[in-house]
Amino acid sequence: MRTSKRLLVSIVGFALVAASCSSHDTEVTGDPTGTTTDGATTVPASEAEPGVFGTLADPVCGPAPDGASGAADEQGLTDDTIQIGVLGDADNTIVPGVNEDLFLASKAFVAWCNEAGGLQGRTIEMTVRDAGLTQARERMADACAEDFAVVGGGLALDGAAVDTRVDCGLVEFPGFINDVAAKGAPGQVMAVPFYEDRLDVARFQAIAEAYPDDIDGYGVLLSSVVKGSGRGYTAQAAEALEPFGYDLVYGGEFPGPPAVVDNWRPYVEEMRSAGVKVLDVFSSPEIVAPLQDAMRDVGWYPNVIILPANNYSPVLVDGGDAIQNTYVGVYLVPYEMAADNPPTQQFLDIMDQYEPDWNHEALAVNAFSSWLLFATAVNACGDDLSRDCVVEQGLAQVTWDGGGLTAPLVVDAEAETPVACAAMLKVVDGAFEYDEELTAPNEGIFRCSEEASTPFEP
Amino acid sequence: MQQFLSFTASGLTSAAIYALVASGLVLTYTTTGIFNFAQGAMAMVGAFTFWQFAEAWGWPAPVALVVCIGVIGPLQGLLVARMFQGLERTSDTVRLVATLGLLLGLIGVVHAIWDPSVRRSLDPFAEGRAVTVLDVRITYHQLLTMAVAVVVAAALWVLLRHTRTGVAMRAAVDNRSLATLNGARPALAGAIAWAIGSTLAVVSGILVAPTIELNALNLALLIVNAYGAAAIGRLRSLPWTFVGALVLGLTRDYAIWLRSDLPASVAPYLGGLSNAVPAIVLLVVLVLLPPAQLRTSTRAVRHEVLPKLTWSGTAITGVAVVVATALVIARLGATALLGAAGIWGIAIIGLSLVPLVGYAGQLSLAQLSFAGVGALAYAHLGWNHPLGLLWAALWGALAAACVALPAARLSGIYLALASGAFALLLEQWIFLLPEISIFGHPFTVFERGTMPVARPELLGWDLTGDRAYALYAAVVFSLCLALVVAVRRGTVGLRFVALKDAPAGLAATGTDAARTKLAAFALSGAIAGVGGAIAGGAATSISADGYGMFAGLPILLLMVVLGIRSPRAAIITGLVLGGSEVAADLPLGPLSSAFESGGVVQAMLIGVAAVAMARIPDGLLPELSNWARGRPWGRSGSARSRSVDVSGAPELVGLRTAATATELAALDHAIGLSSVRSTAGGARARG
Repeated sequence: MRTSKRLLVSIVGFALVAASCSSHDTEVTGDPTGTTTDGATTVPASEAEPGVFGTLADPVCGPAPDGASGAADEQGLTDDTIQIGVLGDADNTIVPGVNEDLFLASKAFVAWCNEAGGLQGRTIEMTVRDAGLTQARERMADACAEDFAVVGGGLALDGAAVDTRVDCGLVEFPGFINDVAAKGAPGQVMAVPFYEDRLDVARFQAIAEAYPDDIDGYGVLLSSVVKGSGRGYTAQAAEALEPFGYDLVYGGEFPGPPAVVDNWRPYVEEMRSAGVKVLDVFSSPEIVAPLQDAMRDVGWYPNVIILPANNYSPVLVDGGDAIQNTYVGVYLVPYEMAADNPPTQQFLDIMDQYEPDWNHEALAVNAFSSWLLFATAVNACGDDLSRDCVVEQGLAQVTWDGGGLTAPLVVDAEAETPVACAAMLKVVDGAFEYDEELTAPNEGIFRCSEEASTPFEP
Repeated sequence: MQQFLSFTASGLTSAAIYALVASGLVLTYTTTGIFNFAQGAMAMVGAFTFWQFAEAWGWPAPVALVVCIGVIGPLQGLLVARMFQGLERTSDTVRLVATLGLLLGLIGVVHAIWDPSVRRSLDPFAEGRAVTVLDVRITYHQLLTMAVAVVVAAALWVLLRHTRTGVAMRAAVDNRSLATLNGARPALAGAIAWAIGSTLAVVSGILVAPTIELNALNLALLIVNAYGAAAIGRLRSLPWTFVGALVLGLTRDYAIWLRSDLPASVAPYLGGLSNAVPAIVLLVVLVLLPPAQLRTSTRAVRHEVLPKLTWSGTAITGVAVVVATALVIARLGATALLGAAGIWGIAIIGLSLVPLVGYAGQLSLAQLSFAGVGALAYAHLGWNHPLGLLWAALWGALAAACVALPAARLSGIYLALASGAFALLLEQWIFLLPEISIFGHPFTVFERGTMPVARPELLGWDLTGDRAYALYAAVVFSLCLALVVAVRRGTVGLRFVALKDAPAGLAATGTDAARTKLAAFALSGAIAGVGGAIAGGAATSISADGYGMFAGLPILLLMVVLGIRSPRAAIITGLVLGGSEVAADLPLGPLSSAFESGGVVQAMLIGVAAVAMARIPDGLLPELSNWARGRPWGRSGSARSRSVDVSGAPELVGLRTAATATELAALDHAIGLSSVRSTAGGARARG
């Protein structure tokens, strides 16, 4: 059946929100992200060797190492090419263009990589597989028929496609995972992880430390369509945040698409009368500006408004001048700080060179980081390239920071305790500003801790 | 006290929006007899064109306003009036479908012109400056909206009651022939009515758009919230519509205020209810209004074609369906197979409309919701067995009964609105309920938002494979087809048809009309439930957001366009709406874009076809079979000849010369006789 969804963009947010981090493991990736000057990593992007990215020690892409590239007899693999599919939903009628950056970042990576010589000398042949929200199984079936792996993409309704993928043995390095049914399926490696039984509360931890008097007025606002599984996000969040001192005073719902809120005033009045001081808007950026316009009209704002990582988007800051007291917690190094972080600058240069019309959303980094992890796994397999090997080597990285693009996140939750990381950005004058005092970083620009990756009862 | 004032203020701002939108709706209905479901879509066009002028092209706001309100508004209305010419003489169903087609078509047009993946927004008037009254802040934009709503309501009331134009407009609806005899020009009055209605829509679009993101679908569907206000006005009285808007806006906002006082154990379940308040108000108003107030406007005058269904024909169709499926799936690729069974699921849902809308003439916008209930029942209770379909049928019938029982006295547009309200209630509240405990067992309506649906095993045959399941789905469709034909040929079918064509006759035989209506709904709901279960099994999972009211519109539209009384139309409906993957696999060339479910091409095709219903009120399939038998093509046949309009007043028919063969043939067709006169020779002999 046809589905509607700004829910997707919100669920993407949930997925991104629940991304967790790892402990320090600097072995593979060199210096922690964010610390600036260190000899090997300050090479400006334009002078970097082709195929070298960020803090990754070895070149990610390049000609075949001597000794040729032997490979198992796998689908999608020839001596000269490797066939990869990228899944997404951009071509739909409910929320057109949703998550388009997954495609664009993938295309940019593939172009950059092929120009540097490809993956172990193999040209990457990338196929965009657009499910348009309703055709997840069909596009996965197409991938099953042709691809070696699916990398960098993400489907809003991926739960429907899990069985198809697992039955045909296709492996995936997705940019995000949405449905809990899809998480933890075999043959899956996540560069930006999402857990079905853990909540990432790093941003709430930061707020609790900076605004200890306000956390007894915690409120959650979300769309009734995105309530989340089981007891729902509100109940889960309230329980997970109680040890940090949060007290839930308000759990509000507004109608999700295709119904639409024509007037945000009553919701604002409701929050005001409930005594909300810290508001958690668990939704996507389009509703934040109209909501805050209504707050301005009414003349009341909560003291703090916290948004999940999917709100790190131009849509939020372009939304108008009514936005105040608003913070976004992100797991990637913000594009605004590229000058201090060469890997991010290199990423921006690559995107602007190959896909200048990209949307500057957080998902572009998800996709790019997934591709980097995939390429690293392929290189680690060397002559024994096969689907099983790629998954094994991907997980063997244990922690992954996208060559300096993200916080150090745990790829293999069996080997390392997951950790949640966040860098707090404040929306000031139509732009994102990194708030170091609020973040109180302990890992580059991020604050990472195991307590912030909280198990919860679904 | 302060809270009361705050919520009252926000309620008034909501009410202003509803009043504007509902006034336009009521005006159009009172003056053209057509309930304009596309009012919101017209508002959307206004908002987008205003954005184009004021933001994209940088015109000064007053200039953009004048052009939008003075030019675009009336122009849009006149175009629509021209398109809908002749629609007032058709049945409620056709009129409903025509405006729904306009809704879809306009959304398609806006998507085509303004790339939907680009985000746009409008700034509020006076940049958000506000005034503070009794400690409550109200912005100038909101004050302006309220002022405009009041002025518009007053002006329209004066127009309709105290001006000649207004009286002419109302007369054209009440009794068109009489109005003509008195020198009025109904066509002109209709055009003016549409122009005013469209202009109002444009104004409301420009005023509302700054509050929400400039998104085509959102704006077009915003109107749905305002139906309740129009219902309180009984679709006739503008002052009462204004009151209705106040009631609706205040109720909705007070409900949000009150839900924070609910005890924590109940809050998650009733919290969603406050979002569904507009649908509830609509339902309550429709159910409680006294029947005398619910007189609908002109009844259809045309004779409608009712094709005769034979058992042999049905058997051939049923066998052909299964055989064709078997042949096609043998050569389909894996991806296309995934969609093959879904075709039959949608076809069954389309088929369910035939006994309800086609035979019994009862309008229903909730078909997909009944299918959703059936799918849910099958997923929860199906036991992996084909007999689980009986559960789907039972629950589908129960859901339909929930519409039929309270709405027993309703008909025509009111019934459509009631069913739409029911669909919205399900979509916005019931389907989204969180976990509840039934006798100690936790139960969620849609577990985690999506539920897996298992495919059954039949007598040892495993139907989980895609090919086997597609064949199974085709067989179920044939069985449902046989059921519908059996109903049609039996006394039950006769009662249904009588319910539509001759309710008085039905009552004279001692049959309870309400019971017949209930039976029609129950049958239809049962078949829709089975269709939902089959479609759910085809996709192997169902989700809460797949059964919305808006999503179900294309099925209704396509069935009516093709011929709501032809069960075979269901086959084509299923193919068009469900066949995108299969079409991609077959060598169809550019034609395959028409199958892209939800795509712009498909939306515009359906929209155009639905709007053209005025010309082909019986639907495409009956017209095609007429044409194949050499009869003139419906209404347009007579229109193309010397403007013989045999369904209007006699004075309008040019009877100064002898009737030609064409005119006589048109007359015969209009009164339902087959063409016994052979050539002009016969006419000359008579002349």
